[in-house]
Amino acid sequence: MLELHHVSKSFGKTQAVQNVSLELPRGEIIGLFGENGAGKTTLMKCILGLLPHEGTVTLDGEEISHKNIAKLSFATCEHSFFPRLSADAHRDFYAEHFPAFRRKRYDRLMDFFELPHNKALRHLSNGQKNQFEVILALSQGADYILMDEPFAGNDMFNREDFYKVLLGILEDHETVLLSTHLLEEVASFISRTVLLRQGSIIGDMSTEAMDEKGISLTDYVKEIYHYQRDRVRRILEEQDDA
Amino acid sequence: MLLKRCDKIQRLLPPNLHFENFLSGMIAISILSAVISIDLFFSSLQEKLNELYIFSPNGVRHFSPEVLDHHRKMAPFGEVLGSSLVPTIVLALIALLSAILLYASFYQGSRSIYLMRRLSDKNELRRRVWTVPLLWAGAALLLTVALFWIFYGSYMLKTPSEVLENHQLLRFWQDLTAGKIGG
Repeated sequence: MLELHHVSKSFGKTQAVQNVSLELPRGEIIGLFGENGAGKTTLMKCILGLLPHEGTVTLDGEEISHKNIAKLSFATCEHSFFPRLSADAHRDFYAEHFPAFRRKRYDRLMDFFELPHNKALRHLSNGQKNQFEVILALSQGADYILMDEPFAGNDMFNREDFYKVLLGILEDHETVLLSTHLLEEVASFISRTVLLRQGSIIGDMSTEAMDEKGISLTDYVKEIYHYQRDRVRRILEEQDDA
Repeated sequence: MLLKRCDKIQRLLPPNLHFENFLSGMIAISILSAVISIDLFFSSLQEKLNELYIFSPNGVRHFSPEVLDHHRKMAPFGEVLGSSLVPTIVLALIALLSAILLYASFYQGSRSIYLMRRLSDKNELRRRVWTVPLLWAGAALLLTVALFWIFYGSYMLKTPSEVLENHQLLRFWQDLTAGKIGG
């Protein structure tokens, strides 16, 4: 279980994450949603120990440290690979530094996405780079896979391919925390939705509970955000009046 | 054998660094600082030696009247050395500062720093940032010491015994501690 206890992070006067407490059991695919600047990326970086923060993050009861950090992997739209190295050089690096590295999964995903093995990553398209970033995160051998908007720049077909692969490849003990704006696309396969707004959790519901209530993910998000359906009409009317 | 050595050195540097360029830069800057040091010293040595002589109309070199009549001596080693070793000391500082460049490479083209900071071996990042700069700075300091002894040996060999004062090293140390050298 990955647990966050009262995690807060500020940048100067800006409170990016406020008192977030969350439990992430194994085996879930959790969608983390929020508007731009809601704190999604900051929250993920706090979980990974990439940012100093208040509060604690524990994995199976132990604080995140170099002893258990390998159980967390990270795919970010900023890309965390080495642009000058090839895919195979990354494979070797990961195999050396992550004892649980899944070589077969890596090979299968590389074949599936048809990525070049020996070309420096900086020469790949942005979509290919995103794919490779995700391949590394999935192949690391981690129990918790954090993905921060991994599809930024990928076309619809790429994204669809990825969703299918993700669902087929994940094992029962693996958990994915996926931050994305693409609500409708991920609604069909996530098991839980966590909503973040101005650094705080404002919603947390399982897909099962939404189904029981008879609401879709989009409806749930709109409800929580108090989305005003007629706001566009009102603004246009005000403009006409003026 | 050479490839294996290069591979070993690469493992001490950030993976994203252009290894050949960095190594070439290191070698070029090191050679340049050594050449400048050598040039500064031997120019100074020649200048001080020339002050001891005059040349007759037929081009023959003689000790000057100051040397013969007033027992003028050769400038002490410390004065001849002057700031000749500053380039190699600066090289050592440049070497240490190169760690900034190495760390910055983890932010170039991506954020590979996120990967480095997630490694179980918490020394891996430090190793790839600091090992080569520290070794390079150490080599620069060794070069400084080696040049010192080469310069001292040259001074002692090239200075005629008639104008050479004793205890040059002791006098050098005294001048150094009194802040009279390197200005």
